[in-house]
Amino acid sequence: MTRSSTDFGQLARIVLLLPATVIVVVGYVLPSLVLAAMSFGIVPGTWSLSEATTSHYARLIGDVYYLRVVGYTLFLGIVVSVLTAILAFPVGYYLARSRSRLTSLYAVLTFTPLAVGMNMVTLGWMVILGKTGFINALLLQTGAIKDPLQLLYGWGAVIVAMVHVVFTFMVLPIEAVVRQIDPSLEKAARILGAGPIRTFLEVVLPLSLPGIAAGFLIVFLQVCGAFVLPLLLGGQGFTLMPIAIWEQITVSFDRPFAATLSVALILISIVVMLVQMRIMREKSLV
Amino acid sequence: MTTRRSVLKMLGAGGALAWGGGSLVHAQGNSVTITSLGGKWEQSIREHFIPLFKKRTGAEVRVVLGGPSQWSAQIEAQPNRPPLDAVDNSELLAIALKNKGLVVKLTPDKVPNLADTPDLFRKPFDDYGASYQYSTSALFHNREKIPQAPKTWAEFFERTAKGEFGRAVTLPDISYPWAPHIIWHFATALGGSVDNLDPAFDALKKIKPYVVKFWSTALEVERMVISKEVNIGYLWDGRIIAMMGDKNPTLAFNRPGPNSVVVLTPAQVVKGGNEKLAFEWVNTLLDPEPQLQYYKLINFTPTNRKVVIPDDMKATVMPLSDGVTPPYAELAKVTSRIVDRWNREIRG
Amino acid sequence: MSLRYLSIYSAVLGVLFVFPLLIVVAVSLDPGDYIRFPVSGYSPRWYIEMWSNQTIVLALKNSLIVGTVSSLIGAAVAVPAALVIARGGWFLERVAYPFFLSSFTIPWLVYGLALLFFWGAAGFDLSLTTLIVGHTVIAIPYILRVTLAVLRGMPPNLVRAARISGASPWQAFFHVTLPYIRSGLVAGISFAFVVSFTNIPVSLFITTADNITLPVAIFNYMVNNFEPMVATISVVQVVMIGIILVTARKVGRVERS
Repeated sequence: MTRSSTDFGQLARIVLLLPATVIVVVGYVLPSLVLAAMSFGIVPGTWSLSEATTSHYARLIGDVYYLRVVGYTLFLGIVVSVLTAILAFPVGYYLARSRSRLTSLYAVLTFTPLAVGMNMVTLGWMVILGKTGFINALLLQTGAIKDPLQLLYGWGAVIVAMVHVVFTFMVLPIEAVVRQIDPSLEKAARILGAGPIRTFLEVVLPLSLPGIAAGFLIVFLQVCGAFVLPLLLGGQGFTLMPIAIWEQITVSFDRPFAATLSVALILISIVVMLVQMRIMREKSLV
Repeated sequence: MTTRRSVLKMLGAGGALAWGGGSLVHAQGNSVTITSLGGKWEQSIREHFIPLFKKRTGAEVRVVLGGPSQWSAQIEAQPNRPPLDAVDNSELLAIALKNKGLVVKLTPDKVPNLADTPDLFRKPFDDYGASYQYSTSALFHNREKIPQAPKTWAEFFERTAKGEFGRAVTLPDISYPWAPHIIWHFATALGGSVDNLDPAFDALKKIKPYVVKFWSTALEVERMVISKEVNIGYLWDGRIIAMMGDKNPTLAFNRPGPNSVVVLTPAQVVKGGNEKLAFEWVNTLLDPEPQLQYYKLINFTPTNRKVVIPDDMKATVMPLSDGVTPPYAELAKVTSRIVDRWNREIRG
Repeated sequence: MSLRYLSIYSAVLGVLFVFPLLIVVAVSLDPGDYIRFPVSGYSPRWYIEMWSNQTIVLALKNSLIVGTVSSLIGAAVAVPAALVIARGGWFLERVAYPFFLSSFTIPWLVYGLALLFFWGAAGFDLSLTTLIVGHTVIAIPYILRVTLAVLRGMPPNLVRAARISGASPWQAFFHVTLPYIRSGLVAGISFAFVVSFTNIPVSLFITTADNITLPVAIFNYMVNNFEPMVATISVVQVVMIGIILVTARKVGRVERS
């Protein structure tokens, strides 16, 4: 068996993977096991296995309300991710290719929503979308409407604000990946007669898929875990998993059930992640 | 250029910073760790209560921001070395901590000001906690749009359900920690009880179309009031009073009958912490002087009998006889079911 | 692709995104007691008062420390892992890689709660260090993901050429691989930093008197006080992050030869 001169030996591989493994095991796997134990009714502290029960899971699966909460959460995740991917790609491409001095400015502008964080994006949108807020004030002044519109407290407000907050998560990986694409590939395609759209679809897009996929996953998972924003901007008609979990902790004081909901959310996220990786592998360009 | 040396230097500096700000030796002796809500509450704690405490004990005070559910979770997670010495808890969590043996009983010899704190504020917790302030349920309304405020809760629900106020009403949401108290109160005001919450849920279902949003934080309802998105709604008396005045001339409030639910903040001493200083801290919280300052800043009514409320503010204080508190033990048992029921019937 | 159209598009989007933040800046200058729109006046009152609030100052310091340390340690462990995983192999791709990404999938609110009970059970006091561990764990997937994406696009001949010319693995890494992945790595570290700096849910349950971070302090203020100072502190938060990100971007710029 020939070994390439760039391969790592077994020992090197272990040494390089060790630090990350230790941190993930201690900082994530163990706390998750604690959480899983709690979801089965085991109390940290006494740790008695005799208390273990699947009743919390039975409750989750048997209750249409919670199944709907799961559905709403997935729906929001997908909608926001797709929307953000479409809106962010041109920006990422531009930031990667452009040499103009304004690029730095644009980069900063697209970073700011992330930097401000959910607190302020939420507050900003509350002030803009409120009945006496900016949009309504403008529409009323110009006579476009007679009564203020109810813009807040619904899917629209949550989606818009979420896209706003996660935008940077999509732009950064796209930009990084597009930078690695040799511009002469695009030039070659154009010289061979392909129009801009064809060049995009057949050259740029396939090559930037890893970046898009990275951004998509990050955004999707962010949305599934978001709590401050939907709590303050969302309406009556729908609840999301993180809010349900928060309620179980702060109102019902039902930590085991909160743990159960959390485990469910983690499992969904893992499935989504694996699905995404499998799709990527099929289109893969290793 | 990124060299190995510069990377290692960065890591080294980072590491040094981290350890420098890292694990603190659990401070016994001359410091006490207490809790506070953020914003004005923290301001009052620091300006009114801490100076008096320091004068009496000479000890340092460390403040943990957050909320009762986070603090209680921390106390439960580390029962032998609690990260907090004293906690301003919510009623149900205070009782939960007492039942788990994580808090210490307050006695008049250790907390002298207990003697001047009426029973209503300590007996529900069997003296394992004592509340230094209370707030009562109230309705705020826009006096221009609604010249005649509802005189009873039943009237409020009826008129709202008829559409008289339009889609401009707000009430607390189930995600607000005191929602179970409020639902219990609605039920009893409408003829039900802790075992029969149907009147409350029926009324809520009827008015649902007129609710702009059920609020989960004070932030939301205050925003809706100030931007005039709602004409009438539910909020604690202290908060409404704080908002009234020159800046909001149309804002008015009243307390519908037959009674108001009273919300307490039982201050507790955590077992295994710096109990001596914690008792002293709770005593400071129950002291009439700082309580009066607190009242002037925040408008939540102080509990110490000795507090003399200035005449111009007396009118808004509710006589205790008008106040009711829920049967906490029974309420705790049905809370989970209340959450489920709300999800099914109101959130639907 | 016409860069001009993209430039206009980016400008429009940039303006739309900045707009809510401009509103927040306007609110931050309102000396009144409650947030209103239109704003009741302009004054730097809160910008001055915020610095005498010891909680805020401590929170700011903590956020800077936690953000920097967690993203750097995250990079220090994620880059070697990325190098190994990029070489491929069934086990690495299908088992090890998802394993390292798994902390992506835990909702932060619950991770914070899990951390609280874990540290309690393990016998550690809550502190800045326990917070840093949590933030490092959530930083790793971001940095790993992006670094790997970039590494996968790297022509294998680059490293091969260096090694054939006699470079040791270390030298090949520092002089060939690292410069190549630099912009991607910096992007990964940047967002790990921002994620940490702005993170509320992970920190909520493990916040104590000493390890409070800025967004948690803001959140605690905000839910109970509808006041302009909330906006003020947030503006300061943005400025801090902005400075650090712009600096990082300059570091990450790859010169094309």
